[in-house]
Amino acid sequence: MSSDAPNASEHVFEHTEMLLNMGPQHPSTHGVLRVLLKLDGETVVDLDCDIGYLHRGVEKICEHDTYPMITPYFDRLDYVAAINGDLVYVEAVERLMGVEVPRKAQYLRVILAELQRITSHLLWLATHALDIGAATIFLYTFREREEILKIIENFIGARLTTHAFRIGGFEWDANPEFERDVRAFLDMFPGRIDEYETILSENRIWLARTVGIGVLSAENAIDIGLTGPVLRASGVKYDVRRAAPYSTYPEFDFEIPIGETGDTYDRYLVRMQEMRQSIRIVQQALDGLPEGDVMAARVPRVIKPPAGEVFHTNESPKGEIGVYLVSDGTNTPYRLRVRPPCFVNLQALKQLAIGHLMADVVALIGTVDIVLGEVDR
Amino acid sequence: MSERRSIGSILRRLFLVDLIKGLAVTLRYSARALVEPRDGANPLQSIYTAQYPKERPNIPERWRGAPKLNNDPRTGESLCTACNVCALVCPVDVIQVSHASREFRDGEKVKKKKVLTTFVFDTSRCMFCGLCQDNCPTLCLELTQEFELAVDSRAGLVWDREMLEKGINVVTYKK
Amino acid sequence: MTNDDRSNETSSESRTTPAPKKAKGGVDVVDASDDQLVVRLRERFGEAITSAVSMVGQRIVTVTIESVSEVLAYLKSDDEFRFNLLLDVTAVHRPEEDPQFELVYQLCSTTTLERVRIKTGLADGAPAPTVCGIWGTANWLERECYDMFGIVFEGHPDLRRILLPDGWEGHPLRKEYPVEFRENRWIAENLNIHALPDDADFSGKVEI
Repeated sequence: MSSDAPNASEHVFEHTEMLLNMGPQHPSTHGVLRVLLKLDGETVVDLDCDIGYLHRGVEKICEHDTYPMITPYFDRLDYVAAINGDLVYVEAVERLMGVEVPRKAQYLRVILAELQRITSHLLWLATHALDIGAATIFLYTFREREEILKIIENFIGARLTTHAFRIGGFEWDANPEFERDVRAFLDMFPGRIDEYETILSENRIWLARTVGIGVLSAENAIDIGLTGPVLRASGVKYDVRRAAPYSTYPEFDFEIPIGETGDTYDRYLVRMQEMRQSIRIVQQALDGLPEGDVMAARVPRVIKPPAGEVFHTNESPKGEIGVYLVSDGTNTPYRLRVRPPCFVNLQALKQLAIGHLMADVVALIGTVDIVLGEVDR
Repeated sequence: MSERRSIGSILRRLFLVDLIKGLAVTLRYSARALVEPRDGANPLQSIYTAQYPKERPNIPERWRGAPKLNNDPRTGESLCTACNVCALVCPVDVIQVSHASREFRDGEKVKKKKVLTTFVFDTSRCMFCGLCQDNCPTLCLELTQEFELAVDSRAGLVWDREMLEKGINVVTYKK
Repeated sequence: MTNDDRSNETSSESRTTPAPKKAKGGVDVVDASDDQLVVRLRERFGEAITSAVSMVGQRIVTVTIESVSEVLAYLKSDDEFRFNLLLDVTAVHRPEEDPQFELVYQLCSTTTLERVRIKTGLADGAPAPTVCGIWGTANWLERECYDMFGIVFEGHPDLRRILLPDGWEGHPLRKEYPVEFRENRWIAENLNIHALPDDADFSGKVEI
């Protein structure tokens, strides 16, 4: 870092602070995130995130693609929760066009989105625990995640970058085994969450690494624009599924788990509770699954939303994902802006990490739950 | 965290109860793995790992894998009408379709027909979103359940019409 | 707000007022002047609120650039509305219009769950006021706006590129910026990658 420093040894003795470069190729940064740490001994004094290594210019590409062609790009923003990304985009276009999606399609969308939320939280739990040093949980959660991916694979035809929805509904109806598979999963999964909690919730090492680390007050969390589980762990009851309901969420009965202190342990508890609530939603949606079509009848072949604009937001596993769509009446969007939850949440890392030990930075990157595909777009 | 130590917890530590419990889980899984039949990847069974390539994985019917151009099963001619919709709808422009018009006799009249000449599909850039398959009006272009697309040169990733109609050679291994 | 400021606004109003467009076959644009929020804002800021419409059930309030930071600060601090969560700051580039840029703020309240979109017109090259002092969120969001559109936020504590590397030429989301290029000075200089010729051989035997 100090090519302009006069003499290396002089430099070390004059300053007690040290600059440390972490990443971009670091296994616990969950992608290509580079963090510059200013350290005093082992304590973080200052921190700067260098992002953009995965920047693909999705917003620019979208201005040149027709509306159906954009959906696959949304898979590749948050690639561990592709269905939630698809959902916000197709709903934004449908809202601008005034397309009424059949109820069966909406229910199926909710089921898939909630299953995807579980996979995202499972992957978060696996990698977060692995970063801190609990390797067992990684194998446990990937076993269950695989079950959901298989359900999605059988229904949609792909595991990660699903391209699940079309504007107006689905390409295909659910496969005949879908309901049976999901029910089998729902029966099996609550016991598995208990298993994870047995391993972690009272584990001495886990508690030592998470309790009191990265405490965020509610005002502070709102000020830096956090959304999703990170905000709720600070005690703010704000969930887009309730705050600005979309799809058929008002019809389901579920709770919004919130934390008390807003530390890393609370964020873990909130996400574990969220998985249980997701199961409740899937159960209700499956019980009340209506009959009928899965594709809206009056969707034109060439999709040209009327001139206008809409800002549609969804609750993705990471936070509030939004699409600001400006249409000029042609078959390509005039401007398409993605409100990325990970990008905004990553900004909190600086506040979270200052004053903590260097080893905690790894835990804090994990607890914010970022996906660099969405941070960099 | 409170540091209370009851006699029970001291005894548990002394006799390594937790360690033995953990080992028992491992042993149970190992023992079950010896007797249970191998049935792909089944979470309810002890062996979770699929023994690929000796066992073929169960690929779902809707899987979007290697592209294929279907022929009409009755006449053997290509179903492709060279309408170019797949190329237009592809987000990453991997498809190139070219056509020629050919004259043919329909009774007394001489008609012109658009026929497919070449069809190039660049699998190296394909993201398997399935939009081409969805929009194909004649069910000609299809994304099949084949997934072994690896080749040893970049040129091999660009598939021509012959390759698309023939499909890839799947090597099967004996168990 | 002093009287001088007010007179400035009225004189510049004709320039910075993008009238709500009613495109042919567009989304229904409903006048939202009766909305309680808009009434309150008009009472307080008068001429600074240039238009208030509702589109797809979403409120859009257009404000002059001179008073946008005051309006935003008011919306956050007011006890009745409490728009305490800034969801997004972005811009739209319309090169054929005057002013060229439109800054868009998406506000939300975690208590009342109300939402509002504040828009303001901005000429090319003109500085925009920062809202970093009002919401901490704005820091990175405004940096991204600068990176993508070249909008300079006056008073921003750390205004530099965020997604693109330092020294990159141009601002990609401006309409005149090409969507792809084969030659790029930055890539050639920094990564030593030069564009491949059109007849490049992809057989795996490329000589570099």
